[in-house]
Amino acid sequence: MIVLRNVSKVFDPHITALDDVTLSIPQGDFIFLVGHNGAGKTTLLSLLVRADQATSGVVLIGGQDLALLKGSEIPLLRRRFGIVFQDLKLFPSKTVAENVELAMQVQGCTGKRARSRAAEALALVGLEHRATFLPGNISGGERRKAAIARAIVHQPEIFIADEPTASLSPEVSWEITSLLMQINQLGITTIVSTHDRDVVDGFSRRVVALDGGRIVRDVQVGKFQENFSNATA
Amino acid sequence: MAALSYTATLFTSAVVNAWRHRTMSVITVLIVSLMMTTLGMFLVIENELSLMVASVGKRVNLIIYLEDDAPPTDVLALREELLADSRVNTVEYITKEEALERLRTYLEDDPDLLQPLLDNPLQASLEVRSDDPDYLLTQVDYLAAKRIVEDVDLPQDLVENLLQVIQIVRFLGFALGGGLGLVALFVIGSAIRLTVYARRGEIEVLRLMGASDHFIRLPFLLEGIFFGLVGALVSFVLVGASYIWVHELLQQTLSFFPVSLDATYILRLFLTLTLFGIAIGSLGSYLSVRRFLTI
Repeated sequence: MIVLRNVSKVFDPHITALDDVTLSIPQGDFIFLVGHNGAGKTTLLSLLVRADQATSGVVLIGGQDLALLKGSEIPLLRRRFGIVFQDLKLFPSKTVAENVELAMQVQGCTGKRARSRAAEALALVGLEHRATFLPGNISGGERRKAAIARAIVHQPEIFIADEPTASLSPEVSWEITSLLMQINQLGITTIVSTHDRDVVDGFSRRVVALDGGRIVRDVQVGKFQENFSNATA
Repeated sequence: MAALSYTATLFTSAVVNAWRHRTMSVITVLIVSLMMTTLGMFLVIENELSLMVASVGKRVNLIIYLEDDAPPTDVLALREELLADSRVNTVEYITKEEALERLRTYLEDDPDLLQPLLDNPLQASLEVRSDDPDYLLTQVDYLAAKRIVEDVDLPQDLVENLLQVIQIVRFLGFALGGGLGLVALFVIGSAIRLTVYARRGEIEVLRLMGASDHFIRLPFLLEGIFFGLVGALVSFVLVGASYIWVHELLQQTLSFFPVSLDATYILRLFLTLTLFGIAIGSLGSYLSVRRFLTI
């Protein structure tokens, strides 16, 4: 369970990225996080992985207050997450398989076991035929899949994807989002930050809309659709 | 087994990373090799000089001239006292007659020079041999103060000059070693800093993936050790070849010094350079990573 209680984040000089945000995400839930650029989506995600700290309020992951974590506990928290970054951040000099294996090595798992788990993750996203390719030598959609495989290889509790369908064709966007649904069905809490209205409309899931650092909508997609245009216009 | 696999993974990662930034790696290894070769050359020269100095030192005798009326028991006691010190190799008693005989042998081409002598004017003496010229130097005043001793002779200038040469050589060794060590530290540290800077994006990703401090830092440390190790091996090849060459040159030009080629010294040289390379590499990268990699 992820809980944000009256969370605010203010950057100097007086830029309010999040303003009194209260949000609960039960284990295994799937949410779309939508909003304009600068609405606070990325800040919210960075608070969850303790890349940043809230100015006020409480962030709880599984009942653990992130503000009370010691420095040495932060890596352990982050290992509970799988993250797909907006710019993917794949290591260009490592092959697709090596990129995925790296996530296992970070967890302390090396050798055959890491290779085997990486192969399984690549098979899950349908990318086993690109295992030996460098990220620069595969398509944009395949790079997304590689990043997803890297994020799920260690079977995280929480999966975060920041704009996973940006700059992709509708067909590939649909394929990627379907993959995210599939990951969620494994019991992994899934948070997807997106601008893509078609994706949000196409999947009947919970949608949390941010605007000016505040939550302006928190509804199931059916109820959300009618207001989505206004929220992202 | 898991720890071994983990270490192997990290070391492989360090070597692969050094290969991927090979221009920088080659420059670093070349500079480290240059530093360590200079240091190694100095070690070789210092060793050869020390052997030569020791060789000269062995030929310096301390001669204790005894009073004519010195009781034999006292002379014997003094000889025993000198021999009790482990730094003394031999103490030879030369009688007045033996001293005159030596003089005759020395002057055999001019026997007339000894004709005017009515009596044997020479004194009995004790000749003390030691490999430690410093020890002999410290004994001069002590022995001269003894009742049965008339005079003590030691070519002090020569001994003092030799000791001075050894001290200068050692001082230069420490100074040069320390200075070059600092330069090597700086070079390796700079290379690692550049690597850290070039990989800051990757480091950020690793942090967000939950990598521990060790996981992020260790490849950089291993990379530094790798640079130091390769630099040491390159320098050993150069210095080892030079050692043999210098040695042969000394044998030809200064053949009166019995300095033989020492295989154990080559092994010690290898170990010294290797350990020095590893130490410099690990310390250089540790300092650099600690300062520039805030996790």
